[in-house]
Amino acid sequence: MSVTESPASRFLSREECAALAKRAATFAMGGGDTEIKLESTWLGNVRYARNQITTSGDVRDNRVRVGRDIQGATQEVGTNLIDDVGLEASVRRAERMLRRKERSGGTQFHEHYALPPDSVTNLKQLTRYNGRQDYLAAMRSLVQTEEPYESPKLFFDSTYGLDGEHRAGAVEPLLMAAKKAGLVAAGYLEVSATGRAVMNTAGRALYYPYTQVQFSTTVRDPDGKGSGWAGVDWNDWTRVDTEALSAIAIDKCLRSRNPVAIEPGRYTVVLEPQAVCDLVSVLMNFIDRFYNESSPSAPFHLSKDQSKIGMQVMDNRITISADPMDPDLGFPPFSPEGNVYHPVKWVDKGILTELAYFRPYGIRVLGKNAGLPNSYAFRMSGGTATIEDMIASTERGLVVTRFSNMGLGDASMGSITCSGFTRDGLWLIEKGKLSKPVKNFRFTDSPLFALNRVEQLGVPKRVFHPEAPVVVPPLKVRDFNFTSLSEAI
Amino acid sequence: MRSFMGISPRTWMAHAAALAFGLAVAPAMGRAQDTLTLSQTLSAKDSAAAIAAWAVSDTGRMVAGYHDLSRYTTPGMCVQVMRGTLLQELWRRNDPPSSVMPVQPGSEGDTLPTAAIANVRRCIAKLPAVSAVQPLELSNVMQLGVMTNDTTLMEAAITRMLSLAATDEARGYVLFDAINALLGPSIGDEYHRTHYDMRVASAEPMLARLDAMGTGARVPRMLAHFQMAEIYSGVKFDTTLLAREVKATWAIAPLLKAGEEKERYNPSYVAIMDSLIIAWSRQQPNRVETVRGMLQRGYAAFTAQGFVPMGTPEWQKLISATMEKYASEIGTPRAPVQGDFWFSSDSSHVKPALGKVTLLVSGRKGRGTMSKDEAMYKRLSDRYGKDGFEIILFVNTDGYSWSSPPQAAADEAKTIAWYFRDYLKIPATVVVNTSQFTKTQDGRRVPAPPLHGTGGPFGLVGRDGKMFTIWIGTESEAALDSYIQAALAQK
Repeated sequence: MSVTESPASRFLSREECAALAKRAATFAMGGGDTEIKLESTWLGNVRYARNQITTSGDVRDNRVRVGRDIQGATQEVGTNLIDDVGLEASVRRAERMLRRKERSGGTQFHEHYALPPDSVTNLKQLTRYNGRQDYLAAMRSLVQTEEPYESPKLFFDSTYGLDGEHRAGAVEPLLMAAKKAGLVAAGYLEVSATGRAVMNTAGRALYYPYTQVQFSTTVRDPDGKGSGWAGVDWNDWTRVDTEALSAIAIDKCLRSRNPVAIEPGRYTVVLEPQAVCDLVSVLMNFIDRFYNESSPSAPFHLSKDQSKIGMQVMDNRITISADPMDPDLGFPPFSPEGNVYHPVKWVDKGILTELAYFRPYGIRVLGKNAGLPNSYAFRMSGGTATIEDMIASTERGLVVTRFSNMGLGDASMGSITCSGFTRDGLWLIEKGKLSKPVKNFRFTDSPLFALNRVEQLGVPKRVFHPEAPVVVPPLKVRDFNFTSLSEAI
Repeated sequence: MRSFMGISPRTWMAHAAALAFGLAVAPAMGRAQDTLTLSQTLSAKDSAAAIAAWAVSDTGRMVAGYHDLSRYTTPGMCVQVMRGTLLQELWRRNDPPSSVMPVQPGSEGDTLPTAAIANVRRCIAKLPAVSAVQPLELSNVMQLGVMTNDTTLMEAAITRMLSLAATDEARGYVLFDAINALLGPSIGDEYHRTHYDMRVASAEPMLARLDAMGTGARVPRMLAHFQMAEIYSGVKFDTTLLAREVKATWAIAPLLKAGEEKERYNPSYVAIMDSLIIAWSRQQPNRVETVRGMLQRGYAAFTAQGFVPMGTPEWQKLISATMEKYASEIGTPRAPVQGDFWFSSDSSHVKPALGKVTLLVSGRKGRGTMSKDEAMYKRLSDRYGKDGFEIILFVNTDGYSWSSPPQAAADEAKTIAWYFRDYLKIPATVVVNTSQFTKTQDGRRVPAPPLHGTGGPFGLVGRDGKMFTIWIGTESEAALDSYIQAALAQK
C-alpha cells in the first residue's frame, strides 16, 4: 500500500483526523484558534515467558491533545475520547484553564498580542488598521509558512498485516529452539501502525502514517547462571529476523554461564552496537542548543551563552547524523508537536556542528525561519573492524553485550557522567581471545569521554531502541571505568 | 522550551475561518505542504454578543465560598486562604487581554478583593479567641486583623504578643512585625497599593510606639524606619516624610552596636539615599550641592560607627556615581531624539518639542498584558496630555515580532507602533530604531552596540528643552506625577 492512501480502519486516516479537527473547532467558543495533535494507534503484541506464549493482544487508542489559542494565551488538554461529548469537554476545559492561566512570568515563546475585544466584530473592521494587518500577517505566517518535510517510506503492509496468528507463528520456533537447548526464553514482539496528525484552524494539516515493529528476547539458563539477549526494531517486519536474533540470545546465554568474578577497574572494552546505543543515546538527549548555551553543567557548554559548536568534541572518526530519509534509520518527518525534522549532522568527524533548537529559537537567536528539533534518532558512523578484529587486538579487556538501568550521575562537571550495569553477557578478553564469562559490573563513565577514547570502530547496524531508531557501530574503547561487581546475570 | 508549538496567536479572522473550516485535504505526502482550505465566514456563535454572554456566565473570578474551609483550622491556615485567594485574584487581573479579559489599566483605586476578605473572615470565625491562640500563631492572627481591616483583632494580637515578649528588643520586633504587615506583606506590588493610605496611617502611630521603646529596641526601630522610608520614596512619594525617615535612621545609627544586623540595612540605605538624592535634587533650587551636603552628613553618621561596607571606597563610589551622573546631565539641553521610524499623532520629528514636558522612556515588547509601566504611561497621558505633556517610547527592533518569522525592520516597526498606539492605546510618539546584529561563530545573532540611538538620556524634559530629571531605576507613579507637575509648572 502506498503511504498516500488511507491505510485502513484500525487507526484514523488523514481524512478522519481532519474531520476530527473540524469537529473540535466547531466546539470552540470565544474566538481564537483550535488545534488537535493526534496519535491514532493500533498495536498488536505477543508476549512469552518460560518458553510459552503468555499474552497476545490488539490495542487501539487515539491520544488527542486539543489546543485552544485565544488571543495569544494557549492551553492544551489531553483526551482519548473522540466522540462529540469528549471533544467538547476537552475544548471547554482548555478554554477554562486558559483563562486561569498565569501570565506573569511564562516561558512560552508565544508572547504576543491580541485585538482589543471591543474593536472588531466583523471582517470589514479588520481592515481599518494597517498596523493590525501587518501584525496579523506576521502572526499567521508563523504557522502558514510551513516548512517542507521529507516523505520516508515508513508504512509497511508486512507490519500492518501481522495479525495475532502470524505473530504467534513467528514466536513459536524461538520457543522450540530454546527448549531444545535446555534454556528458558522470554520476549516481546509488538507491531503497530500510527497516524500522526497536527491540524489546526490556521491552515496546518500535517499527517503521516507509519508502522513499527519491535522484538526483543532474553534467554536464560534454568539455574539462573547465564543470560543472553538480542533485539531490534524496524518499520518493516520483513527486516526482523527473529530466528537469528533468538539464536544470538541462545548462544550468548550458553556462553555466559557460570561467570567468574574479576576485579572492577578500568578495562579496554569491546562494546557491541547495543551497548554503544545504550551509552550514546544518553548523550543524544542533551544536544539542545539553548541548554548547552545556558547551563554550565551541559556537556557541550563552553562559556556564557556559548556552546562548543565548531569544536572537536570526540574522536575524529565519528560522525553522528540523523536523516528521516535514511533507509536504515527512517523516522516520521515531524514530531507529535508538529516540529519538522530536517536532515542534520550533529557531529562531523568529531566536530560538533549543530545542536537542536525549536523554530522560535531559530527566529529569535539565529534569524532563521526554521527549527532543528532533535528527533532522538541518530546514525553513528563506523569503520571496518569486526568484533573479532577488536577482540584479537586486545591484550586484556571485556566484551559488553549491553547496558541496563542507565542513570545520570554527577552532571555538575559537564560531562554527563552515567552509571549503569552490564547485562546479558560479559566476557573477559585475554591475549586476543575470549577467555571466560565474567560477572556483571556497575560502570560509571561519561559517554563523551568514552567517545574520546575510541580505538576501533566497526560496521554500523540497527539496534533496539523503540523510542527512536538508532544505527551505531561496535566500538573498542580503552579505559572504561567499572566501579563495582553486580550479582545479577 | 516546549510550548504550543504548532499554534500562533490568531484572532477573529482566524476563528471566523475556523468555524466554517471547509476541509480540503491535499492528498500528496511529499514536500508540498498539506493545507486545509478555510472559507471565510462568520457564524452567529462567534458574534460579540455570544462572547459577552460567555464572559458573564463564567468570569473566572474567585467568589466567596470557593475554598473548602473545613480543613483550615489555624490562623496560619487562614493566612494561606487569604494569600491563595488574593493571588488568584491578582493572576486574574494579570491575565492576558482577551475576549473575556480586557486590558487592565492597572490596579490603582482597586480595593482588596471582597472575595478574599470574605474567605478570610469565614476562616477567622472558626478560630478560638486570641487569648487561647498558640503563641506562635499570634503573628498570623495579627496579619489576619490587618487583612480584614479588623483593628480590634490586630490590637488584641499585638497586646498579647507584647505581654509575652521579655525584652525591649523582642517587644520592638512585635511592633516592627505589625508595621511590616501594615505596609505590605510580600504578596505582590499591586497588593501593597490597596488600602495604602489607611495602612500607612495605622503604621505611623505604631512606629511612634516603637520609637518610644528607646535604645533597647534600636534594631527593630532602624528596620521599621527603613521600611517607612522606602514607602515614602515609592508608592507614597513625599520628600518631607522621606527626609524625616532618613534623618531618623541617622539618629538611631549611633545607638547601634557593631555587628547588629548591619548587612540588612545597607542595601536599603543605598536605595533610599538614591531616592533622596534624586527627589531633593529635583526640587531644591541649588539641587546637587544641597543633597551632597545632606548625604555627607548621613554618610558620616554611619561611618563614624564603623559600619562596613558603609565606609568602604566601593560604597562611596556607588553614591558618587549616582551623584555625578545626575549632576552632569540634569539641567542640560536634551539633544534631539533620533530614530529610524516615527509613529506620532503629529508630523514633527523634532522632539522633545519646546514648550512641552516630554517623558522619554524605553518601551518593552512585553508579553501581551499591559505592564504596570505601560498602564502608568497611559494614566499619566490621560492626566496631563491636555496640559502639554507627551511621552516618547523608544523601541529597538529584534528582527521579528513576538512569534512571527523574521521581519524587515519597517514591518516590525509598524507592528510595534500598532501594539503601543492602537492596541494599548497609549497616546505616545513611538520611535523605533533598527538594531544591528553581528553573527557569532556558532550562528547566534548578537545585537551590536550602540543599542540605543536615542540621542541622549531617558527621563523628563522640561518645557525649556532641558533635562528636568534623568531616569534612574524604576520610578513610582507618585514620584513621576510629582515631577511632571513640577515640570509643567515651570515657565
